[in-house]
Amino acid sequence: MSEHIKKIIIVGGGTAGWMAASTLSHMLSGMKCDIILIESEEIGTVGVGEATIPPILLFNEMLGIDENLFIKETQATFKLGIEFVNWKKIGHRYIHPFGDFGVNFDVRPFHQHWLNQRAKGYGRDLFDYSLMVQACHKKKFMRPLRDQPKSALAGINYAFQFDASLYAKFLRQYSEKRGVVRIEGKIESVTQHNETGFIESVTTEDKRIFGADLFIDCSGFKGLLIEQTLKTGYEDWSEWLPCDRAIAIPCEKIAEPIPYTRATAHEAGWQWRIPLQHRTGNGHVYCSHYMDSDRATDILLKNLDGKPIANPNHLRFTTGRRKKFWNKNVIALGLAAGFMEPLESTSIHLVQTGLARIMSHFPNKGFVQADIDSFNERTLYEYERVRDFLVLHYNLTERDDSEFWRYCQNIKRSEILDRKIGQFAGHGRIIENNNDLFGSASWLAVMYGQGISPKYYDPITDQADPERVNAVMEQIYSAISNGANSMPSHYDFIKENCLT
Amino acid sequence: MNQLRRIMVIGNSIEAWLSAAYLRARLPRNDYQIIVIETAENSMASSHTIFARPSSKNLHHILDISEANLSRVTHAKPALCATITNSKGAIIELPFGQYGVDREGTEFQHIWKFSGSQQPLAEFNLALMMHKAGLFINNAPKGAPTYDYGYILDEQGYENILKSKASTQHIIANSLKLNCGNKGIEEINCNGESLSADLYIDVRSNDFDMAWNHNHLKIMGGFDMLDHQSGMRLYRIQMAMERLFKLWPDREFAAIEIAEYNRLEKAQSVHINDMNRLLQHNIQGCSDALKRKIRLFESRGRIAIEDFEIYSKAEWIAALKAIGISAQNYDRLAHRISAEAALQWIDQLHTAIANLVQQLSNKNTGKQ
Repeated sequence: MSEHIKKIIIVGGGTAGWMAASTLSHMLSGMKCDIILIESEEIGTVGVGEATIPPILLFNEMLGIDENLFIKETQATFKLGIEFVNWKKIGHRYIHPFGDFGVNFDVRPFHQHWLNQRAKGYGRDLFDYSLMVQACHKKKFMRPLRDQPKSALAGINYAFQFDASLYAKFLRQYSEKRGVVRIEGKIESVTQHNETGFIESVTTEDKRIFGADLFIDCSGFKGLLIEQTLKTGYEDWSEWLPCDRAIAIPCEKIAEPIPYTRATAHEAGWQWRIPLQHRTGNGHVYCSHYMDSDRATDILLKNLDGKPIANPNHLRFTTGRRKKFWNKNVIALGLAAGFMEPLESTSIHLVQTGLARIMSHFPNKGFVQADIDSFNERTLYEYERVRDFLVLHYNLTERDDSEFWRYCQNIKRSEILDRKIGQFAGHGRIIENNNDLFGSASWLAVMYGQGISPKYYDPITDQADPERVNAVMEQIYSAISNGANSMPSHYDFIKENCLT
Repeated sequence: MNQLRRIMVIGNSIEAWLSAAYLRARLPRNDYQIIVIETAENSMASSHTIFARPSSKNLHHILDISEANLSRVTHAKPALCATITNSKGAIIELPFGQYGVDREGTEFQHIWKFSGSQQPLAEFNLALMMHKAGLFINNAPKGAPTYDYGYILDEQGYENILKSKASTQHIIANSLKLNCGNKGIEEINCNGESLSADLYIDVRSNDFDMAWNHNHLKIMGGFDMLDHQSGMRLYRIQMAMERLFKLWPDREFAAIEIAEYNRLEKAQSVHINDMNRLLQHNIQGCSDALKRKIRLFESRGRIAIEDFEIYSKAEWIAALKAIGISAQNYDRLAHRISAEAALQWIDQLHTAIANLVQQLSNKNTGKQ
């Protein structure tokens, strides 16, 4: 057996860098492996990824993080879904909730009974059957009642919205307590092995040399090691996801924070609104081909709901992914690995799954190519599925009020996405693959929310007595509605449970 | 909506009657007519028994066949592993239970390898050890390696039970001709009489590429002994029925849903073929997925789980080891405990499993 990895260097200390440091320090504890993180305060971090999706709970759990402490330290709020405003058409809005719609019965998905009822002229709107949507509308939140599995409140599914810079600080404290050494410094040069091209060391501007066996590149868009040194290459996905600029700006909060993120479509992009305890995070993602930065800034500033508390931070990016996420002895995470805009809050999640994949493919100094290939194949699969899900939002728009949206209507779908849409448009079917990040409920929310109305329903649902089905659906609605009403207000929950 | 009303199942034996029983269980009797056209040809040489994988428990739940009823009518014997005799005469056991117990997020086989234990990995598989000793209990005791179980069933008894569950009209086909057109089957001629249905399910197929074409669904029966021994004969029908029910058509037979069925069927066939290649010691020209699986296992004992996976990690490990592929290395995370502690823990687990098997054996033979 070849020698173990004894030293790991993480380049970059934003969200991705400190997530990597905390995970590695936790998972490799007691294994005689030194972990160094090199970052420069001068460079700063992008840190716009402030919203998450439910698997973040597993990450916190894996690290043994106290959730209330985490909420307090990162000024976090809870998140039950994402509201999409003006995406289908101007004036239209829907929420993509975390969690299921209704409850499956008679061996059929709930939404198939709902489609059947709708075809017969009964029933409520699909979103009325989502506990998370109802809670969002009522600005309510509580943690799930896991000890009462029959209660509607057992099905609460949530994530967080937090201050990314505070999150990095929180994870830094966690990591340093577990032996991670933070080096302040800017990397000036990189040394590679003459024959293999493997990276041997990095040198900071003050001429300190740091060698390691494995390097984790969290240096952001530029990909200091994975791209600037190893010339790995980047696959441009702007054909599918054309936005290439973002402006981020926080503003004062004007009301109690709501338990969801809002994504409002504008004429050549969209604006995020992430409510935190102490402020509101905002940003405008847009396509420079259709809009200049002055106009984009103007739109963003006009649509803030509070006074700005910092100068706008302008970001440039190309959507896409690194041709290899793991190349030689460098693994890229976060923006160094790829970028797909934060529409469905997947940036932090992709770091999390990247780390899980590193742990399940953890190398020794031999760096077996089969492990590297497996890592890259699985990461690519995940990136492509996330890309498809994002494309869905743009491609299914009915908007034709600008060149940008007309372009989006004609985006060429991947074969998998086309199949998903076709299956839903027919009999409302949603077939899940077991490695999909977004499950049936998410596809249903966005496909229906964006305006696909299936032509038919599942023929099997005709077997059931319509009056009984109607009664069952009313029971489900009542349970959800009563459940949502019984929840405390989101902010009261935070104050009473997380800040004491 | 233009619903299907009349469904014909064409074939014989378990394949036909399981399909009919499944449809009967899922579709209301008053709304759907199911007819079995019983053909004469044999799908395979009968061995008088049929092997059912653990997933058959779900099937029997759908069919409302209790374990007691199954036991009474089919003399069902629980099976903790599939025992395969390949064409070279080698016997391979694919266990329905895990090897050892995972610890701190690290799979057992890595800790075992890291510890340098001299005990064979198979001796940490409770399902295999109980199988070898001819023992069975429904559930593993707390803390022991977990397992599931399938059944060995008397084929005739099983067919009888399925027939009673299908409880449907059947016609013995002394002569049968399918008149096929571009849109599936136009009609069938059975014993000189013209018959038609909205959907034809033909369970005599070996056509992988076009399992479903318009109103003609072809389901591959178990065609060889390997499928029979590994439980795939029953499993293929079960999965085909579950897929069909999930994508239940109306008379328009939406092309996109038929394509999805065929895609899923093909994915399943690839997994089965891959496993069969391993069992036959024939990995020349195997799928990319199997190549990847072998390379990954060889390098560090990891098992990649693909979409629509059929076999458990333990089954893949057993099959890979059976053809002499072993892991050169192990997951580094095994080092979260020291080598001494790992070896001590492994030895304790080995002793616990051996003691458990001995106790069960004593109980069986009446010893204290």
